[in-house]
Amino acid sequence: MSKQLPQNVLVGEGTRIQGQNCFNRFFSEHSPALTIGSNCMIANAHFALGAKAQMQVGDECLLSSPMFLCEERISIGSRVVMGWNVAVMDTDFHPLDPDLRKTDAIACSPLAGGISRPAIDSAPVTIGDDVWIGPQATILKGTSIGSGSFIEPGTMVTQDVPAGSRVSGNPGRCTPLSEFQ
Amino acid sequence: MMSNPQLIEGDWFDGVIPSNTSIDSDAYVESTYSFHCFESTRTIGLTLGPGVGVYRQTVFDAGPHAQIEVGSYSMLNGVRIVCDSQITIGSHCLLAWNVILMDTRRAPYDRNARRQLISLAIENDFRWPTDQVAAERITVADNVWVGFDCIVLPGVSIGEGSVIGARSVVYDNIPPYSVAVGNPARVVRQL
Repeated sequence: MSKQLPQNVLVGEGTRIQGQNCFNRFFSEHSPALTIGSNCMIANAHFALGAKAQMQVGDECLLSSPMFLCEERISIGSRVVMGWNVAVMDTDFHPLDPDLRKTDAIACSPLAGGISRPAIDSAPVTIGDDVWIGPQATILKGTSIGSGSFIEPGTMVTQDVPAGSRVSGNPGRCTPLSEFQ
Repeated sequence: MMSNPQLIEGDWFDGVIPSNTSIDSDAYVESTYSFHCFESTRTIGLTLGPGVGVYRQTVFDAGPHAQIEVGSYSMLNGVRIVCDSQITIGSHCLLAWNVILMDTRRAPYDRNARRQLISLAIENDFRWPTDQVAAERITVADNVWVGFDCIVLPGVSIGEGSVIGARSVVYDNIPPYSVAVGNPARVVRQL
């Protein structure tokens, strides 16, 4: 498996990366661009990293078919678990401003002719240690999830999450985990 | 009844239908992929009635004590069923793609207890342990339609004839003949 990894990906001992298409959209020019700790299992991930993107994953993380859309920085702690089809993104993909978005649509089109895209908002995402993220949850740009938190399945995380929170709903609402134990 | 365990002709997945299942001869299962994490040790861990269709990437993710029952004429079109206790689906139900029915989150809220499960998984070739968290049965009554990407959480009952809008997450029981939408799902009208 390791011979298929891009050269700017560092992987720790005992870590397994499964799946054929993990790096189809891996365009980061950093070295290293992606650092993964030891004893992680990452199955059928989608590492869509832009030219300036950097990403770190700690030790003992278990991630099943996650999607990472990264233009700046996504940091994931140790012992983070993600259920199927979790999406983590640190970017808006396109400008919010209607005029700039028109420019972006042209730049993305087959008629672009090499013109460059306008600047697009991004903000780093940080996920602390021991965070559990249920299946089909979405973590949006600029959020920081405190350690030990529990993100319920299908939750949309739009704001910072204090350590030790249970987060549920869309938009995600936080309650101290101690109320549920 | 089918004679089990058995293969499916032209199956893209290299698996079998486990012998402790009761699949009506008028039910259809597209692929044995649906059973790749079926670990129920019950005498009958899965029952599919006549006219049930199991399509695409549907998975019966069943722990040792799991019992899954599906009535007649129900469609599972790419559904993930995570079951450590009991999940019952009635007749004439329509479950769309990427729907998850989970009678257990398979993870405790306690951070240290989760750490232990992670260690167990790493020791066991990265297979996440089943049966470590109390499961609460799910009941989906007859004639229920669950839209795509919905999640039904442990302990939930959905009443007869109800509709759950796409991408809803269902935390609480839904009464019969209701339309419920959102995350968390709320009843917005009666049918």
